[in-house]
Amino acid sequence: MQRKTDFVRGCIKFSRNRPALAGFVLLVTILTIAVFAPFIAPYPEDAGLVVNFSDKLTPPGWSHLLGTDEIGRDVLSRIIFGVRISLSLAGIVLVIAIPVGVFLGICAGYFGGGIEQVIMRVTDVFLAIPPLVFALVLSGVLGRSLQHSILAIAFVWWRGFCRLAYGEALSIKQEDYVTVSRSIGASHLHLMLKEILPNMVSPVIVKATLDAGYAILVGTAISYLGVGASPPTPELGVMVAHARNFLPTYWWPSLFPGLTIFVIVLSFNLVGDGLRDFFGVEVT
Amino acid sequence: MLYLLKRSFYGIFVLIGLSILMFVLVRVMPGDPLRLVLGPMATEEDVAKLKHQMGLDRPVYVQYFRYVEGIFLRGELGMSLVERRDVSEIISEKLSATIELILLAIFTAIVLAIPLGVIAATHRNGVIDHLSRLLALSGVSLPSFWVALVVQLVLGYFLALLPLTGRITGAPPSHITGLYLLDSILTLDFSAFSDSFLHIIGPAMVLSLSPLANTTRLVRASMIDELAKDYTLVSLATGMSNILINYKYVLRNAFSAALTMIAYLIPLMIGSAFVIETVFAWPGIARFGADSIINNDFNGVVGVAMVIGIAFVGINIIVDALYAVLDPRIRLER
Amino acid sequence: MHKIVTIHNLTVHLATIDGVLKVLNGVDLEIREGEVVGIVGETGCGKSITAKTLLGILPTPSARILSGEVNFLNKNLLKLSKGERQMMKHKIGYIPQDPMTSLNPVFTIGGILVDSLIWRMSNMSLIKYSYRRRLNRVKRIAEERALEVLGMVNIPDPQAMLGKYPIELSGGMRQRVLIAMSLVGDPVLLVADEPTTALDVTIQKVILRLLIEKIEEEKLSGLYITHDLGVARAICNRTYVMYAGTVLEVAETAALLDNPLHPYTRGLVNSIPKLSGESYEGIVGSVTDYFNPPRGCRFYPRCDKKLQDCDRERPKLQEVEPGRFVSCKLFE
Repeated sequence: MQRKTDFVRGCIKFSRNRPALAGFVLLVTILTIAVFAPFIAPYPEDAGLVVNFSDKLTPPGWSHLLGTDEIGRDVLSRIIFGVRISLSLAGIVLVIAIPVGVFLGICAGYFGGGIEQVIMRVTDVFLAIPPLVFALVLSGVLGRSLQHSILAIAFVWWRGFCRLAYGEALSIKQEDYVTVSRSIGASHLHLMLKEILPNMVSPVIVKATLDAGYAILVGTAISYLGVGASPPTPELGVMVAHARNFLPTYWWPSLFPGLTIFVIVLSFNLVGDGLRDFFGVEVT
Repeated sequence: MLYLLKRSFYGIFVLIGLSILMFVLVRVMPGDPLRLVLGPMATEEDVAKLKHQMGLDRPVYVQYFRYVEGIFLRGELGMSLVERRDVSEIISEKLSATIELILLAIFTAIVLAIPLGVIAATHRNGVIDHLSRLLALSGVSLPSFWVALVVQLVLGYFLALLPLTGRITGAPPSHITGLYLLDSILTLDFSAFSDSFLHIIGPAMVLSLSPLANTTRLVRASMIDELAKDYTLVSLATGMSNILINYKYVLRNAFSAALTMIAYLIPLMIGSAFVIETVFAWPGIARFGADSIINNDFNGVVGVAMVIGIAFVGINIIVDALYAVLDPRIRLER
Repeated sequence: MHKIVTIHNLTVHLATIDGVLKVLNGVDLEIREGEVVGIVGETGCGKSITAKTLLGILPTPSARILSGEVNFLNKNLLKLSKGERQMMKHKIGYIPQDPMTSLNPVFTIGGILVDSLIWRMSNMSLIKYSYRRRLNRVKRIAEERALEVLGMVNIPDPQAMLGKYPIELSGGMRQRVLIAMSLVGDPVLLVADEPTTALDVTIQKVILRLLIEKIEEEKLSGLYITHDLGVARAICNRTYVMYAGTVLEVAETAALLDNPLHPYTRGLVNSIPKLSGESYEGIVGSVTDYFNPPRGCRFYPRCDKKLQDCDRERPKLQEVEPGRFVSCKLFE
């Protein structure tokens, strides 16, 4: 019989899925850029507080591949550091939101009853406001800075994972192997951590990948509106907002950062979609 | 019926929770808005007077009750600290602009997504399939503020096809519904119609991108699912044309899923509207909300948030009702 | 005697992620006027695919017809234009296997039946169809015919049934509705794909009897697929035995079951538990690999009467006795 194992089949599917493969390569490239930013950027000091008025607003060319902005800073270098910022944002948000959300979701699904009601009702209230709006409000409340906007987004994000974990916990709870463990007398914690949690890893991974992109979109939007990072931080949203004043003649300081955001989010989405096929899960 | 009542009850609960949340958050906002409003020359006395005027010197829970009472009994949402007017007045002025924008965006998204999704599903790996996949992917990956900028630049500036900002240049049509497009048709004011149409295309296009992407994807996936079902086989065996089967039978089932998605999408669109309205200087409540946040105008923020919350709950109820109509299985599962 | 259906050398492949499944390998089949032909075989032997090819509902895009002819009423269905093919579908009624999933849940029974009828009356034209749907006169005619067929399958209150949704009906009732649906267009041939498998045993008998009755009354021909030899005996005049996408034996049902010739058929018949209490023998081995079917006789790996060159080339269907065909080297 020529049936390949599920994992191998998944890998073949993923590699045959050219968009996913392309996305994966792209993602790895982006991650590398982010990690090695200071070494890759041609003018790393331009990411900070530097003024170079003589070079200001030069169009893309050999010395500055993507041109310079109105203070004479190299756009390419700033974008590279901007990538680093956005990826860190996504990372921090997920690192906070996933454990909190998943934990609460499992609790709600597992224990049911009062705990379930409380947790899920609170989540529902949070869900009534779109993430961007909520994060905006929170950023405004906390005070405008990049760090605060990251925290705000993280605070908004846990609810999605909570709901996902809740749904998964509910269905996994019914599975036979859980019942068996319970009848042997396993403790609650053991059941939650060892039986339920490992079985919801795949949808969580898919959602995390797709959400990373979405979180970056929200983060840059917040900064664009001026409620997040502020100059001179080379945050991609801020760069677009700032350079807006110089459109249409000087299009490059505005266009390229936005394009970069697109590419980053696109790669996350491509990989996320590929993973979704790979795991065979249904995640919205 | 009972089902709907239960859902409304639950909706009210959500609204209450929301109001508490907003109230707490906003009172915690840093920066002394009162001083901002009065200016740096204000004395302690002036500040105290304004504080008393706005009822901000009472204990917190009293403030909360007055606030809730104000909203639900009198439709009062407090005074905007920036515009010095009633927030409810501001909102009712600007609400129709946002509603018009969102309606047009959803309409465009649905009207385009259905045929795209259907054709993509029935001609797998064809041109339309790949195109729609590309569109769907881009739609969810593009930052809306950037696309808005590009649209403004290309269509507004370089091609000079569309105006750059605002809702209308000339005089708005007489107010019947508040939706300029509709009103201008109803009053046969064609110049107002073309004027407002040109203004609304840009923002509506950008706003529709994300729902278009998501809905196309969903329609395609649901159709593929449905096409594999046994009852579709039976219909095919009777010799019906594929078009008929696709649009009448298969789509009907696929649409329920799309409907839920749309309900889920509308709040997200309101979120995007915050950015898009700002870029296009569209005079809607989303822009007002964004401005309020930037200016620490907490009454404004709370007002907008409450409106969004109410809209969300209302939409959910409507969708639940529609769902019951479309799918008899839900109705008959007493 | 007319031949309603003649299938000759039909070969069908299905493309899947794991490779190409060679599901049908040169199938020959014939249905004469007025007779019910049965196809028996284990799950996956190609019975359904044969039926689906006849009905024109093979899974696209994965199914590919590599060779062969499918003649229905003297026309090769595979060579017809799309429009003509759709027209032919009128004359073949389809009774599917699972009544629980074969009715569209969001439409009423009346809705489905009336729609089907109006479509037929509109001669395959979408425009005429949309127009006629709105005419009360047309709707009434369609409704009358719908009531007629519902009555034919002994449904107690046809008028009420028109307004019901599938979810309100039991399995047996749904199967009746499906049979009614197959009769609504005045077909010449009924294709039934294991229609009683998903029902309770008691209902099975009732439905079977109903089918036999209708086939006789309306003078129809039939293609009946089943894996239950007892059912085959009850309803099929002649029966084909299929294995791994090939036909192994054909005969009049009674003769086939009382005196099976091919080793596989013999194995099948012997697997039926007997009332006398003797333990029954199964057939050793497992189902064929459809990716790489054996070159010669498909049954070769499991056969206990293997001959020297059984694996070299496939034996042809030979007429061993008048009306009996076997594809086996033992009988050449």
